[in-house]
Amino acid sequence: MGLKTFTVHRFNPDTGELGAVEYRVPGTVGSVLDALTYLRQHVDGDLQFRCSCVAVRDTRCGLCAVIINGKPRLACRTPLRNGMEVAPLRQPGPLRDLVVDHGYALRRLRDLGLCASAPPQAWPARVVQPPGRRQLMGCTDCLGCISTCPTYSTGGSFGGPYEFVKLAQLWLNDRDTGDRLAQANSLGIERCDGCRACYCVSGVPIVKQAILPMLKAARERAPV
Amino acid sequence: MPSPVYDVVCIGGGAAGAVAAVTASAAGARVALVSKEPVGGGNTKISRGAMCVPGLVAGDSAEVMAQDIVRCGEGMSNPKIVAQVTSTAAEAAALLESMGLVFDREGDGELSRAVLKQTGGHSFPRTVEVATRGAAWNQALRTGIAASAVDVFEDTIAGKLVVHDKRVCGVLALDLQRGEVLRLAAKAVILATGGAGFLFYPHADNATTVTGDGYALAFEAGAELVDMEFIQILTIEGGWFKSRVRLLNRDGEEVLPNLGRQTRAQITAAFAREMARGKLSDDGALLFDPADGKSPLVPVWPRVHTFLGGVRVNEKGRSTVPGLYAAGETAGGLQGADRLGSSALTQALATGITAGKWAAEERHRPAPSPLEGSDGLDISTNGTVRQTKLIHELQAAAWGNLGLLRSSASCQKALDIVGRIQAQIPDISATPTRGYNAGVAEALELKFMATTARLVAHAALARAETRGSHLRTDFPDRDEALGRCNFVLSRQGDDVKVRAEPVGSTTWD
Repeated sequence: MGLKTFTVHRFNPDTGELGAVEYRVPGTVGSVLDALTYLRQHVDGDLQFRCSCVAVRDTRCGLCAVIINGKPRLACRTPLRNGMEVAPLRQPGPLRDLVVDHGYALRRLRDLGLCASAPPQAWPARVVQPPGRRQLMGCTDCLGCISTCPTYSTGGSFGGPYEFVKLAQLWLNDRDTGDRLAQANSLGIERCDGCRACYCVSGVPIVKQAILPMLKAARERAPV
Repeated sequence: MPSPVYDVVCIGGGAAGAVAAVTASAAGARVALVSKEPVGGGNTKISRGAMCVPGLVAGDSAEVMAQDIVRCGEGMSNPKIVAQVTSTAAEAAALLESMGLVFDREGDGELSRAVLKQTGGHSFPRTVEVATRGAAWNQALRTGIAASAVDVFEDTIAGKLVVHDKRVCGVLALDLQRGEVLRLAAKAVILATGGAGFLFYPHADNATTVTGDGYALAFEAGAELVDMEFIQILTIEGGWFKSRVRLLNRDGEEVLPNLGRQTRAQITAAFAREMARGKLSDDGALLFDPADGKSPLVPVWPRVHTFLGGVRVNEKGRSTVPGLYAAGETAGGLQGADRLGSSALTQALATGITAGKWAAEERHRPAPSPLEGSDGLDISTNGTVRQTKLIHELQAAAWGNLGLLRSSASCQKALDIVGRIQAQIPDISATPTRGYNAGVAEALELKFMATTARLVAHAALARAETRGSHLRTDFPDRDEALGRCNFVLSRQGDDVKVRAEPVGSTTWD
């Protein structure tokens, strides 16, 4: 089998720019993550990218999320094809090569109050969880969805898919006491109406189980 | 600027570390959490996400679960720690649910018998699950941390504990984004860095960040470790399936009866037996039969899953060095020679809560001095050796000599190879740069894995018998005299000292 050629757009923090580098790897290399690993071991030991669960089949840590041919994908789940273009996620800010600032996510949860802890109840409590929330709890914080949103900007006032998923997790939790629909409004959920561009690389149903239900409930509650 | 002074610094952001931090903070301590990955990650995020909680069905109790743990641990477990964990398990599950995780229940919201699993060695069904597995734990733990007052340092790897007058008083860590040393003075430090399964990659199912950091940090700081020879290897576990699943060899023979009720050590020992008999498939596998009437046989191989020993702590999570605690897989004493399925996450939460609570008590102590600016991390730069090459050599040596089967010769060979690798570490090229540099973290992780391998080899050499997950080809039977002691490791200069202590003899306060 021949070689495969692909391009990595590597962020340079000293210049603040992305630089395109073309690489060749053996044709036997399977996924984009395999290719990046090969490069790090044999070609450029300073190539930076995130991954954690490479040893485990059938699981997702979400850390290898990158842009592949313009779309957020998990590098470990994407077979490498000739001519592919790999770049860091568009949001939040990139740090180096393909690594972005994941620390942004936890800071954002705190800054926006997208968290709460209820006092522990007696165990075991009777808890009914809507099926939608069960699915939303599959989020791995890979931040890929933010790169699918045409409206989101890092640090801005609009919530975007990742934050609306977190908000919906709270809203759909019986024990949560916050006014999450008011929060959805203040985070601009109305701007999502009719958009539906966002998606999750791991299949979490962002639009169906987070955005549309909250939009609908917020409207039903709004004064005429 | 003087280094910040915390009451408690937690190292490790998985289930144990996050819960320890939240607990200590809720008790009134000023807490920092240092984590290599985003909080909630590591093995926790990619785990099955199940935990065992006693007392969910009639007849079950914390005492019965304690008996099951002690039996599975083949007498190596510290009874005080077992009692502490089993009596804290329900509180731990309730805490996680208060952070937003909802374990699977019936449609009417009841946690009934029908939704519980019972894996090998458990006397009653007591395993609760969540549909999205470890991802749900990740969500809940991050929510809990975000809602707390804990100061969080992600993309930060702890490199060294600072010890003054035989007391741990701080942590030197590396901020991977800035390439700068972070100095955190602390009245107490909790090590919750997980196990060291990645030492055995690719013959392991652990995250790449599970590299024995806490074991090495503790050892360097003069703390004792225990049960380092016991490492659980998982082949397949039958109790998760509804059908009567089977494990077959190349001739189609069932290698052991009643797969659903076997412990993991029993199953892995069966694998070793079939290997010795030449009955593995051409791929070196056994064949798992899902017995559901439609699925084909699935080849399965043994893979390192959990470290069962660790930092030697008492039931409060306190190590032999004042100011130093350990929780989760980093802490030894609970599991002994083998562990029950779904008990690791119970261990993480319960020991995390306990260590967090007791570490928080140290806030009444006088503050330690801020750490000196001259305290640094010795990560070599400008060398010629690629750390990935050394890491691969170490991993191969670990699996080949300390993996499924051990012998006096294999343990000694492991020590020789580790020694040669350690001698090359000062020649590594790993310069911290701005923006993010995983190479520096890797260099530290190589050091930590090498130390861990050394500890495992010494402990495996000392235990001249076969017990639980520890299989010796040169001592294939149990030795009842060794069944009354744990092997404790400590540092003397550069040497590893090994001694036997009666089981559960953690008599310090």
